[in-house]
Amino acid sequence: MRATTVRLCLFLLPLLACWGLLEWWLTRVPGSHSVKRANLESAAASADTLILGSSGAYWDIAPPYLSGSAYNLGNVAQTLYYDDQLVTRWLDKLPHLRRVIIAIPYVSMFFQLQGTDEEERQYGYFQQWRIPPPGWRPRLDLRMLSDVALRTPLFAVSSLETALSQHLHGAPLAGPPVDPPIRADGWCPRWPPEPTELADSVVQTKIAYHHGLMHMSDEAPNRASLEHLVSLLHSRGVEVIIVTPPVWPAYAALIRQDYWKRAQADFRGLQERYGTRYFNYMRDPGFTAADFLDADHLNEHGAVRFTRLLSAAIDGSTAQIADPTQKSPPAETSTTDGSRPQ
Amino acid sequence: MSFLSIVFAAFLAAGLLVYHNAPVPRRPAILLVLSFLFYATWSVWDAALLLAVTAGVYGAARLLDQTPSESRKLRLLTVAIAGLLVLLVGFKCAWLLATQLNAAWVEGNPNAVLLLAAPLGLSYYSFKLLGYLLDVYWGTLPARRDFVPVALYAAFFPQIVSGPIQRAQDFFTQLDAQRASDPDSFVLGLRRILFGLFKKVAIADQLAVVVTHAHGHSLQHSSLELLLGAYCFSLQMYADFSGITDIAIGTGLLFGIRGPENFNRPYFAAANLQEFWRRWHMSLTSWLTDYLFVPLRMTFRHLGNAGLALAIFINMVAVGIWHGPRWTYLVFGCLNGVFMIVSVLTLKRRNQFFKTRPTLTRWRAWVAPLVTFHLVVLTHIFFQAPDLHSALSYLGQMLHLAPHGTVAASRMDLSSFGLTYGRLFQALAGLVVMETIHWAMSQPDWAQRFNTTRREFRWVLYYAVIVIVMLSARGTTSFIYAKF
Repeated sequence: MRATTVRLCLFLLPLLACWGLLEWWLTRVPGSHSVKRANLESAAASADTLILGSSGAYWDIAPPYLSGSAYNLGNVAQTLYYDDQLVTRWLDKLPHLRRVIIAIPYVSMFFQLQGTDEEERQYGYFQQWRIPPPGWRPRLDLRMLSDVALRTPLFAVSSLETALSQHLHGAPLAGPPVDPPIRADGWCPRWPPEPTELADSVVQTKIAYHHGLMHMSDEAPNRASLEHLVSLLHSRGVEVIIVTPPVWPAYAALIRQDYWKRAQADFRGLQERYGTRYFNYMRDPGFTAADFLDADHLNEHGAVRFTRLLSAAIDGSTAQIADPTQKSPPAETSTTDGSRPQ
Repeated sequence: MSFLSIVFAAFLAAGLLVYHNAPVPRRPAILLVLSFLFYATWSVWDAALLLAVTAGVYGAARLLDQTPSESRKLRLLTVAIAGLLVLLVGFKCAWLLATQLNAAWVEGNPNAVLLLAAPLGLSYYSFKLLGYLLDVYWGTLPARRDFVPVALYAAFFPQIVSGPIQRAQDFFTQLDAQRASDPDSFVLGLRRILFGLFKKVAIADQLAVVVTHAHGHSLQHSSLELLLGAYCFSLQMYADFSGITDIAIGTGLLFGIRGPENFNRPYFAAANLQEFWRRWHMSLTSWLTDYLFVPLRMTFRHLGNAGLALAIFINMVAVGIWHGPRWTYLVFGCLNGVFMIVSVLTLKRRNQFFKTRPTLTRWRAWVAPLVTFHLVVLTHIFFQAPDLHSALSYLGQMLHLAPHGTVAASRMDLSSFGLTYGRLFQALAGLVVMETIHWAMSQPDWAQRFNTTRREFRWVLYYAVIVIVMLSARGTTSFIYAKF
């Protein structure tokens, strides 16, 4: 038996060496969390506005169109637990913070990463931000520690292979950039729009998928995270603004009212206790097919329009904000049309 | 603790170290502790329930063994079996009943899953214990005096997640015969685990991409694409279920216990449905044959063919609802029952027909497995769907009977599944490799012949399989049959 065990260890040695090499390589390959963290470190000293939330923030809210200096800390499927944890850990490093915008789409109050096909994201939060997942079970996963396990060995090998082949042609040995690219202010503009995403059958499938992810039982922990986040910011004199981004009308028509009423009640509660402002653009008629990436996300064009409306509503003015990207369409003349400050 | 997690690998390594360094008489107790530790990582309450149920069955079996009166034995057996069935059916139906009675409570209560979900492996361990009780009652097996072997039989961790359902006699015989650690059995176990991982990760998980998309977005796919989705599900389930069985058998071998085989090339060698079921989930079907079908057949024998048909139908319905209280599983069982009745009752005539037509007989050898495969694929559409409406809708769209949007029925666009031809080819090539290995394993002395090849050759082969598994891995994944 001892000889068998020794042979097994010898057999495993080359595999462990290869794994170690790939782990080293992936430290040189950026991901959305590592880029966001690096950018936040640069922006922290000057940022006065922080944008939090899931893809509804990450793609839909464009920091250049808000007044002041804003940083978008949203990410795909980022739950309120991670919004809360990120702010709790970074608040002391944001000396000029005066405002936090939390994008809360229809799904967010009833969604947790565990048990969904997005759950691997929680390991990214641990690896890059040192935020452990809620509950002990995910903490036993190899992906808590191993980037190769998280991003898959296939990705590690293929990115290394590509980099090596480029290196042979004179390029420095570096990993591929994050796709889609993330701007220095944390925003990830999406383009071009995908018209088939707005077909009724696709919208129905999408909301059915979302309803599969949503659980009334997840509302209590999400409410607790939101309450903790808002009370923490309130205690530091930072204003909190909750916003629901626009969705395609066919999507809005299919939402479950019992869920949505519960979320609205939560927002009202925060408004009463902490003076939080809430802007609901879910059914804003001003957004057309040209603004949407899919049924519940805006494309770059829509995000610029939406952020302008939101900025005007927040600041209570209609002043036009300079366009730093030089890519956006002509400035909108509307201000808070369709938005409903509550 | 999933079989595919690093924690399981660490648990297994630590468990093996303790087990193989312990004196032989203490090994069953160590294995029992390991089994309960493994099970408790899923739920401590479920582990406590398993312990209590096992204690009850152990006591009932001891009483059965000591009671001389036949009528009292029968009463005792009835009470014990009823208790186990109430537990099984109660837990399986609890979620369904609660959602019917108070859906809002279920949906809004974070502890609902904890309270209502059936314990992991309930279907497997309750069938094992039922079989043990019946064996003791029929006198084919004496009741065990020690509690440890019975508890270990029910809780044996490699088999508790998704079988195979080992017979008590086979398990106890192997347990009693345990001597010094066997390096050959150890190597065989590791090799089997690697083969299971290959099936799961390199084949099943690749096909799962098509299946998930086809069933989740059926309106976006053509009839032909949905047919591909249906084929892929049947193949995925085969690779997935036989993969976890290999891991279970391999893990058992590491501890010197060989579990029963669950598959014997069901798709590509079964000429009819009854043969398919003799080759698919063999431990369940043989259990049901011995403990349900044969008693039913004896009870209904005075009815002739009608009695045979009735016994088959009830048996297959039992196979269906063993998976859970869902209409789709019931339809799955009923369809299999009907197909099998037709197949059994017409077999003699078909054989006579082909006997006089030798040219057609040659074709039959090729066509019969294909027909069987397609019948199975049809039943699996119901097995996979979350409800009857979804199953019928999928079937209607696949056969182009239901409204189907703007997609041309004959379109075959793999990118609509988020799939490439390369990935599909990899999965199909993996299936060919898998079936070739199955064929090789069915040959006499295959293990010895393989062991006599050069070590360098074997190591290169193992490395190749490990690299394929690693490069095929795509994040979180679970086994289809782990939910039963």
